[in-house]
Amino acid sequence: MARNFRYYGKKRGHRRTGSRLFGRVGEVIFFATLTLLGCAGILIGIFWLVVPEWQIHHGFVEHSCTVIEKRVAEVQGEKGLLYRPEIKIDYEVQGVTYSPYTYDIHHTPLGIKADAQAVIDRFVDRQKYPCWYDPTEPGNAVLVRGYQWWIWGVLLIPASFAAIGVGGLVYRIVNWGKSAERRSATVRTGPAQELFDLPSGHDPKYPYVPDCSDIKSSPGTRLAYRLPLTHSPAWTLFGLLAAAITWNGAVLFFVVMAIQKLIEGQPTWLLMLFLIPFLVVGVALAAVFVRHLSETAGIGPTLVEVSAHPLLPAGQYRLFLSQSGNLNMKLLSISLVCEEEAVFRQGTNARTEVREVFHQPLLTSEHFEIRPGAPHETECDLSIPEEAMHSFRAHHNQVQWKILVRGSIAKSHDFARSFPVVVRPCPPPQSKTRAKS
Amino acid sequence: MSDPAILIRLDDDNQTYLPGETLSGDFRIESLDAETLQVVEVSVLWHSEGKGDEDFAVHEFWRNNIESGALREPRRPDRFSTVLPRSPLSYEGQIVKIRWCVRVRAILKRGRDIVAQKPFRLGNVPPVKPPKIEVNEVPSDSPLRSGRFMESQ
Amino acid sequence: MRPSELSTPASNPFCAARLRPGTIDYIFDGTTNLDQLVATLAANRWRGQITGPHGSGKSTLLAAMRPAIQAAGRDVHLLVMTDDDRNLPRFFLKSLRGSSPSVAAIDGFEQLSAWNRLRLKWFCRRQGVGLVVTTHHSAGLPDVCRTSIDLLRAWQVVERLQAGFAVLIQRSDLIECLARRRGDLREALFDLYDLYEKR
Repeated sequence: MARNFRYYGKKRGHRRTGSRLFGRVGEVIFFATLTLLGCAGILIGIFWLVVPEWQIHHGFVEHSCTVIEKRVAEVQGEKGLLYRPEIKIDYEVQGVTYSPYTYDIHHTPLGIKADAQAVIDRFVDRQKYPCWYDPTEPGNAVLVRGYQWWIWGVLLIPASFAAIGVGGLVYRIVNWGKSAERRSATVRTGPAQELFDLPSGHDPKYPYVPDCSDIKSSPGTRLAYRLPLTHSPAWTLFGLLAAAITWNGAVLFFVVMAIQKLIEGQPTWLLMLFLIPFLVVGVALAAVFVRHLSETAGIGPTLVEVSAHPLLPAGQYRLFLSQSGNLNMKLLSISLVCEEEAVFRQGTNARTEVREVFHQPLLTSEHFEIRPGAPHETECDLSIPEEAMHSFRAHHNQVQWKILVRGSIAKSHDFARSFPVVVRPCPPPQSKTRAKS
Repeated sequence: MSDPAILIRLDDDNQTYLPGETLSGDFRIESLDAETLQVVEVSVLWHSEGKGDEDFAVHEFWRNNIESGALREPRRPDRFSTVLPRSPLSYEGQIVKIRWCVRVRAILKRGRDIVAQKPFRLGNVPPVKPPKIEVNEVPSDSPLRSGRFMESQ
Repeated sequence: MRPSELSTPASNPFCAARLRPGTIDYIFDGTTNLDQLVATLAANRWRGQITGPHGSGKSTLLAAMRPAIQAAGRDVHLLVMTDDDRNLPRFFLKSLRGSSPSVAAIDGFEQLSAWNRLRLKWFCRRQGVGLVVTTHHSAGLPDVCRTSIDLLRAWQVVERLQAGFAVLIQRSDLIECLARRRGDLREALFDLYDLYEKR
């Protein structure tokens, strides 16, 4: 079927593709919405909260009033009863007597009854107190005035929305049409590099050898560098959690509604029937999340460190592995692997093929237990073959090296985690000319 | 008169170079009048071959046109020389191969052109041996053990 | 220009560069030929579609038709869509407004967004520009050809690819690969690449 728009990225090997334009437009819409929401929130906040207080200070007329009655009014809030101090005052403006219940301009209810009582206790019946009334509407008066700090706290929320929105918009517009590489280049050529001596992974002396700054930016605890994972399980978990919460939250709303109706003796059978498949999907989503969580938490993090990087052909290195978790391991193996990846695009087809061309077992441990707080730690030698092809990355083809950790757990599933490394060609010997002149 | 042909010769007979070495040689164009020649382009480039779309990049490029006076008698050998880069090295993988060559293109008047290439090797990476399995053999249990195929539409 | 177009001796006859449309000839099934297809296209005011399943030769046929359409006096503006881009190139429509009559040839019409498909069809109709596309499903244009693959023609493709190379692939290999790939010749040829490497 013909597609209208690609809303999501497509996985191709370790990369994802999708409509970049859609992504950019989506980002702009997102940040513009944030900006609008933030600005609207600020305006509403100013109009409803700040302006009234400002008016009391600059527009209301100071006057004198007599307290004739006081009470604590009960207001039904979202989380239960709230208590509002209300004081009935008596004052005269241009021959007209006004007797409103008032206290502050916001008629703010308090959460604790005693607090509200304390407020009204400060006023004594039949005593005179200063008050401020609105000359355009003399019946509107307050007994207290002043700026309240919580208003600015409330305004901070929409202000942060607006700040994030404006920042995102500026960033997106400034970088519109620039590739990630170009953006990265812009950052690197800035003063930051000189100030902080940022590592620059890509060495122009080695064209088409991949960048290795990712690896070199993470020092190890036992050896020089800690290798990054090809895929972090955290993102999968986060995605699953977000999906499960969103879906089940929406479903729960209708479930509660249906149960309420049932309790009230007005069961909505159609709604209940309609909700069943949605409930099943919700439970399945939650189950998938729990399964992934238990797998990730159960297996625990795998840390791999290497004594030097980038690696060189014929180089001898040390490798450190730390496997945490609560596991009864049947087998844990570390291997050095080289894969070729080729992407072919034609018309509606895009195919990626990955082929393992080198596999060298480095270490195998069998039948042992890993307990929480006592990770399995081991070191081994890592030798890069003398005639190894270097890591290579072009637009459609690549040669990639990685450390592959595979585990087999008793009464559970197997797992495999890979850690990319960069093998760089050996530096050339002293330049020489083989020309026969 | 026979068709014009470009002959490329590398100074090093075994045609294998190490990174940082100087590649040099000469080319000449036979059976061609100088009047019909417009431009000669010489490139040292690598390109990929295999199951993926081709990648290629030019390491060194020279262009001599008739106006600049750089084109001499086509039959006389013209020399070229360049220091080879450190990467990418020539590679004979299973689904990815990297090949280096010197390419000479002679663009003639009236839009025709003739092209010749001289392959050479950069580095000494030996070919990857393909696994001795039949194409219809069931792949091993690990997806990393065999070619993993993903098709998207 | 692709390096492979320079007759670089490939080591494997089934490498991707040799499978590109235009590199291998389209082989007709005997019921029709290139002239007839171009005549059909001309009769439909140069509007038409080539439909067929994956790897059945749609792109190869379009590439074969290109010079024939040009020989009939129409400029051909070929656009090969990839799955990364769903938009028409910036000046594509402008380029079709040339002084000479032209035909827009779109390989992978379905890759265009619905809006761009509509825009292109509307533009071509209004400007009198021809439009020939390859697509898996009907794009609402007159049928020019429905491509399919049979063993005889698939083997002819393999024979042509192996010409000048050591013949390491036999007919039985092709049958096996085609069966596994459910008639998708392109995928079968990629399988033969591996088999050739191994032998």
